[in-house]
Amino acid sequence: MPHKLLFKTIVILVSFCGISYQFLINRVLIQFSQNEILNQSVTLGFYLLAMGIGAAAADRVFKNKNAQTVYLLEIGISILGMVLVPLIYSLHIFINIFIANKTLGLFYGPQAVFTMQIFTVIVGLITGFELPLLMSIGQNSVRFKASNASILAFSYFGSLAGALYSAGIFLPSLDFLSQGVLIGLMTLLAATLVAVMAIDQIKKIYCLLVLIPIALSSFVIQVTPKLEQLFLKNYYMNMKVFEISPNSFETVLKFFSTVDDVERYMTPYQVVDITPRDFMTRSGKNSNFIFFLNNQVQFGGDEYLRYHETMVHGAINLTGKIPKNVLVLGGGDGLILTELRRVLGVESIIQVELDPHIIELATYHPIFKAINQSVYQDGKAKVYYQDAFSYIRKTQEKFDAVFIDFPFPTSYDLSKLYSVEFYRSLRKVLNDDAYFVFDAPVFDKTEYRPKPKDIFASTLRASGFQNISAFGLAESFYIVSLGKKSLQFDYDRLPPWMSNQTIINLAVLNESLDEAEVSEAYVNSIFKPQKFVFK
Amino acid sequence: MLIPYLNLRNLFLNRFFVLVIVIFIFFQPQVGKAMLIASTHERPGPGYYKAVLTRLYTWYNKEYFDFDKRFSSRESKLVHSVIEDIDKTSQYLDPKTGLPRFRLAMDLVGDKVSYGNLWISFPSVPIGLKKHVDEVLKSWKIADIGQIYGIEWSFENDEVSLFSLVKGGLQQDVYKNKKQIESYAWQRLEHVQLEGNEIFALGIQEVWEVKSEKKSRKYIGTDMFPSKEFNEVIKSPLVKISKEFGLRPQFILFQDRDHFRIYYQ
Repeated sequence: MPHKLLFKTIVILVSFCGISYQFLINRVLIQFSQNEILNQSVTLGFYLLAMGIGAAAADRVFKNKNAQTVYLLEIGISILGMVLVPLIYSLHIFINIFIANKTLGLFYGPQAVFTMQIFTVIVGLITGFELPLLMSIGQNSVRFKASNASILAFSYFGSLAGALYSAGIFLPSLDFLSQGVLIGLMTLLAATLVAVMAIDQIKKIYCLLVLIPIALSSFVIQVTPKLEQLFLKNYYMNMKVFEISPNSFETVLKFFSTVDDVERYMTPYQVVDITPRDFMTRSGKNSNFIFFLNNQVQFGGDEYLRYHETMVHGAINLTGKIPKNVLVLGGGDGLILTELRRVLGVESIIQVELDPHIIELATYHPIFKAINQSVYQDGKAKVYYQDAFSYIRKTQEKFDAVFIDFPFPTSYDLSKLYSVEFYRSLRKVLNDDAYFVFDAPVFDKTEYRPKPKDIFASTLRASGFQNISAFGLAESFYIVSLGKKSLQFDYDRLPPWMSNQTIINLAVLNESLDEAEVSEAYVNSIFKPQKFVFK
Repeated sequence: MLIPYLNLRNLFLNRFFVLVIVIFIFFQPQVGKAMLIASTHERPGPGYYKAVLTRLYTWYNKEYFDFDKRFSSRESKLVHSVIEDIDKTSQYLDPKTGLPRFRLAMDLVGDKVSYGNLWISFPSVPIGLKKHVDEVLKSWKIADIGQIYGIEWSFENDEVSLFSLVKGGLQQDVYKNKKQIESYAWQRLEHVQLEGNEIFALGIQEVWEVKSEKKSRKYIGTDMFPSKEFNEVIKSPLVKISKEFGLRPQFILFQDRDHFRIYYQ
């Protein structure tokens, strides 16, 4: 390979890895805040700042800006990349056990995100050294001659490729620890290419250094599952309930070894965690299991009936109408379908779910199969794997009821599914007198305005809906009907097999909803997204 | 010396003291908000309390103590008409100030739990309800006691209590085999502070003094959950109710028969 092409390949590879590290840190840290916007902004900001500082300091730090320096730097970054996620997890575990458990409860939120930026800064700084060194080589070496402009250009190409690969391939298909190892190995490839390119400039003994990251990768891969489990158990478990006194790390390790593993599945769209039976989480629920999407609790072994029975049978009882044609948006766990199957008179069900892996999980995972009664195996519902927004904009079908089960909008991506544009499109797929239901908080303790209910009420009104109600004391839902009848439960007509928890949950919450501030300023739009703050 | 019952943990761990714990699972017009979400102002629609209370009562009858089997038809009608009345009045009572009116109580004395306690109250007695109250009192051969406030059945002691409002508090007349055996005056103590410090006081909602001619007792009412060592005997039914209904006991009364030091300010 000609030297100049090899040099440009190294530039691309180096930038590819640099941006991939930033993506990786960002994705790992999202677990500590659930606020994707804050997380991305802060991580990218710190990364660019550190890169700038690194670039500015490169002249002072490195006296010899030659291939050997680049080689050693890449070896260093490779090692750092491999231990990056283990270090983040270890620091989180340490702070959580020895500090946060005694004070905050869980090391979480902005303080965790900002603290962990120490890793973003380290990676950014070292990455910042790379370009000035490569530029210096490009200018001073006859063999690798390249202008600064072309080095910058190839660096940007590498960053683009890194961003696309990270978003499309690394993040969806590998766990975080493996991603770190893989990117570390790619950085090692860059170091090796530097060695190949300028073997005459590198001390022979230094060539052996490539063995360190290789050996390290093997070690990290070995300890990955254990470390991830330690992190997950520490993250989800309420240690106060067990009254563990985390005096020593051994105590904690010993305790965690007695607890069943948390199951983790990565899909292109979300991270799925399932805590085992009798696992005491921080929310205090001692359930058979708890199902989390992107670290947000969805339901537990004791509560899923309350949620899904309330949503389906509660809505049908409130409106007094059994829908013939039903659309389910989201709800890949299959539990809405399970409840709909119990309703006599429902003729057709279409489900639109973005993530086929969730439906796969719901079809084959023993816990899901047991609770959704293998609903996907009877083939009664037609399932489309696509974006719900895109589906309702394109479909010609009309429905009598739509059940919407999306995650809470913690990002702009999710926020669009609660937008005025979404609801206006939804209006077009509803028959006269139809209704739709979605789960969202009605009560919250935050003083911040707009509260979620302000946003939902304002957005639904702006979408042209008038008959808006809320129901569900512990699991709350909004129901929007095109009919004019005021919605009240008819308790005498509730199905007798409904669980006791559901019965207690079934109260209309219109007094709380009436307190919502309806304002144009609170309308959630794709073009003017609202911040959903909920406590 | 620090007195052992200054905090709930010690209270449970110390075997020297004989404890009586009464855990009420009570329902009231604001049941939903009180039990599930403390800060709402919701007034659930007609039929809600009837549906919920009937479910709870039926389930409790099946699981722990079958009141319906022990009740006469008059008593059974009275209980159900109280449930109906709670449902009706919930529509206009302020959900924040409504009083508890339907209590299933579990008593724990030492390691023995008794489940057969039901307490109903009627702060106002509409005509329909009064008819049922009169019929029950008549069947017990108890003369009209004036402004009746509530009835408590304690089947395992084979006792019934009638509560009436008297000057300064509540009066409890206890009957056994249709004969009055005791009369207590319940008085809520104000400005009470425990000796030592406020560790325990943090969980205290109210302190009651219960006096009869023969004896006097004091109860601490709290919503504080006891320690992990909380008596396993009582923990099991509480966990079961929590799983079945998503409810936690709302009020716990503690009594220390021997030494209960309370200072008045």
